[in-house]
Amino acid sequence: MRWGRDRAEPARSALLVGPAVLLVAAILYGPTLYVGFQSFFDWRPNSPSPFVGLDNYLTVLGSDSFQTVMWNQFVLILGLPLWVIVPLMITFLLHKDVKAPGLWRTIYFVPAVLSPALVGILFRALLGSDGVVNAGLRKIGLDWLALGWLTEPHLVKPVIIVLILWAQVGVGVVIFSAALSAVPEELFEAAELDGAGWWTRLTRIAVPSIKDAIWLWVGFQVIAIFLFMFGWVYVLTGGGPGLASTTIDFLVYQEVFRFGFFPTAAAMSMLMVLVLLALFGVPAALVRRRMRGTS
Amino acid sequence: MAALLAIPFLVPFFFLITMSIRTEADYRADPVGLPTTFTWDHLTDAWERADLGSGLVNSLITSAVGVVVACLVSMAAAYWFSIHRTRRADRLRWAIVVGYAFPAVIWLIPLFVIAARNGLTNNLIVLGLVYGASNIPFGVYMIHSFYRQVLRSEIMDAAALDGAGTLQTFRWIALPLARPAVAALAALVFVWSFGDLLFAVTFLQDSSKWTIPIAAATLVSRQTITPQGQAAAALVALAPSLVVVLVAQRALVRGFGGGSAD
Repeated sequence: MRWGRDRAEPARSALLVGPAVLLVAAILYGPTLYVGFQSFFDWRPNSPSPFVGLDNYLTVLGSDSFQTVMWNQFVLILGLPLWVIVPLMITFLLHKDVKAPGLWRTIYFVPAVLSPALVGILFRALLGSDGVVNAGLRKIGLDWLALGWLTEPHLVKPVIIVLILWAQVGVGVVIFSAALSAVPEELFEAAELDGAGWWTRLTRIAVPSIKDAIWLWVGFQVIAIFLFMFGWVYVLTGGGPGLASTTIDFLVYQEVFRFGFFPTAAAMSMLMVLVLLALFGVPAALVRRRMRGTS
Repeated sequence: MAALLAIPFLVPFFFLITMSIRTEADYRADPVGLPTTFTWDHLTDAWERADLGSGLVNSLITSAVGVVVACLVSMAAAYWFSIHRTRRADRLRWAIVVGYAFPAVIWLIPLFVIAARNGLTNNLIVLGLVYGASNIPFGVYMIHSFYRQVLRSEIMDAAALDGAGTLQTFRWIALPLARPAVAALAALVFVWSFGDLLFAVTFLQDSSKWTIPIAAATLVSRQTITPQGQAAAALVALAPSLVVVLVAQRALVRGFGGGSAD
């Protein structure tokens, strides 16, 4: 289907899509291909960079830091059930008989759109050893619970998982609410009349009906774990203690800006791409199905 | 019930504000209680030590450029994709949208190398351009989805019958119609660019060019900062984003919900 055709159409219409194609090619694709190419060299910007084949990759794969960081990523992904179940439950709780659901949704939603770095600064103030959280715990006598939330190696990752939940719940609730509102009320009413309890209605009716939205959400969260962690890590823990909270994007950043190791950083970048391609295949196909299937 | 659930989301902000405006002695006496004193000291102190004033200006510049670039380019491309429904166009759109999944570190570092070679680092406009470009994948996806629902064939046929060319239809019909989606996009791009840390620390080494996230993050990681100082820095850093979000929240929720929420 084409509208608005005139004889100069191809040239003029290129003006509309051209900037997008140019900018995305120049800033996203170009540099990515460039760094991919350089990953096979002993990349020294502004100096001769001899070819080294797979050396950089072997160095990275064998390094302790890379393995630790991959483990960290895996641990963070374990937060997925939490990130899915909590918004689901909240959505369903707000489903009926709630005055001004829009207001509540806004309140849950605000943390989601604030950037991780800024929210991280907020929580750094709250979770520090002198912070409100520990002070409150001490006040009610739970001194033993006033731990080093951002300084204990075993605590940093769970803390980050919870903070991500705090920040992201709102978006999940909005997405699930929208999906749920498309489900006919009669389904729930009939089930209630048949004696189905709240939990049954949630798991047997609501969840299956909004399966697509749930998968979309899972996809977003997996992407976020690999793409959007830098702000959190830089501000909350600086990657520490040691490497306990270092994520892959933080690691690559450090590799370049703290150590100046461009070749290994390039190899790490490419490995990141591979991991994402492997993990991403399913959500990407689903999103594509949504995009095509809703016309 | 909804109110109960809202508490965990409001409490941190409550403490953010109270911690920033109490005196230290007051805070130490009862950290969790309500403030009994009031002082601007922490805010002014954080403002000066981290030079939050110029940080704010720098952030506003980069975010504004980012918003303009992202919105204009995404709108135009999204419109083009709405009127070209061929398989090739679909694939092109897919190639653009999938850019969202590229981890920024991957292309930021080579881009930084290229920029450094050409003296383009420490440049707020260039950074703004990068913000804009990096949001095109998301912007195209969002506005194209919106156009798919809103650009009804009757409107387009009428425009064609009236002899409107592609660009005219874009200017007079598609552009105004897209306002809600673009408002949401603008708010999101602003907030994301304003609060970004990674791109900023990559491209801005000169501390006079620092954006607020860098300034605030550097301040709070110093040893000599009190919880109050940290809270004050966080408050100043968060305030503009909070304002934008609260103003645009209805548009944002609608954008994420695909227009079918509420």
